[in-house]
Amino acid sequence: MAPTPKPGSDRELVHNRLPLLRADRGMSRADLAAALGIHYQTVGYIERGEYSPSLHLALRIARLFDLPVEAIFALEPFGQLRAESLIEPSFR
Amino acid sequence: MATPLSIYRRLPTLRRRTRRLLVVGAFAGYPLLQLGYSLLVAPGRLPQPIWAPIAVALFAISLLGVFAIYGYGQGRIGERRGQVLDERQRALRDRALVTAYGIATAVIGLGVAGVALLALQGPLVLGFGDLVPVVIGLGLYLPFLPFASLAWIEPDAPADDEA
Repeated sequence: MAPTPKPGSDRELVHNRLPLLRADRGMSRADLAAALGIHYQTVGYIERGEYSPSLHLALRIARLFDLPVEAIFALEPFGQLRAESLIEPSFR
Repeated sequence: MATPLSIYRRLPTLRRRTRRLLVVGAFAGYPLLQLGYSLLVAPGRLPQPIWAPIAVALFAISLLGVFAIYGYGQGRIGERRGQVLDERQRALRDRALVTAYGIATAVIGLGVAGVALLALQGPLVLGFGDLVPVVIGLGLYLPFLPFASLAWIEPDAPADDEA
């Protein structure tokens, strides 16, 4: 069994594509925060990987962008983004 | 022009370094005031006229720290009307409360243990005058602890974090 990551360690880091998706939709952090009902600084902390959202918030973000949660959040760094990767049937 | 109100409104944006300095000042000023009085003034080592401005400065440092950190924590510890903390803010507040009450428990426990230890060595008479600084200290710092803890642990919002 894999060891449990120490809270706050790099191993708990959740990578995300929020800045990219936000820019793609022309949303500011404040817009996204308002749509989700969270503080705009929380969006910044999530984007920089300094705060990992709860499953509930991650799912709400995914629903807002109409994407599967794994297209937005991942335990490993995202590779080069291919435009089609966001609309691949496997993600739908 | 900076008015007291505009300064108070800016307090929630204090950087962590400043916050930590204010927390240290808040916790150092009043105890140093009491210690200085007990060790220097009461035994007659330092004349009152010299001590008076130092005492005022130490108390002012504590008050300034407490005021600024309360200002920083406005709407962060308790939820204000029409404003709900989000999950990150609640998690941070919970961490601050756990830290604060852990420290409070340790300090009160050590204080009681110290008094018990002294009492074992002989009769211990505590007058009202001995307890007043302790009561003022508890009144000043107990409600302040969660705010101080939050101010200490909350990371800075980076400069690019514009709404």
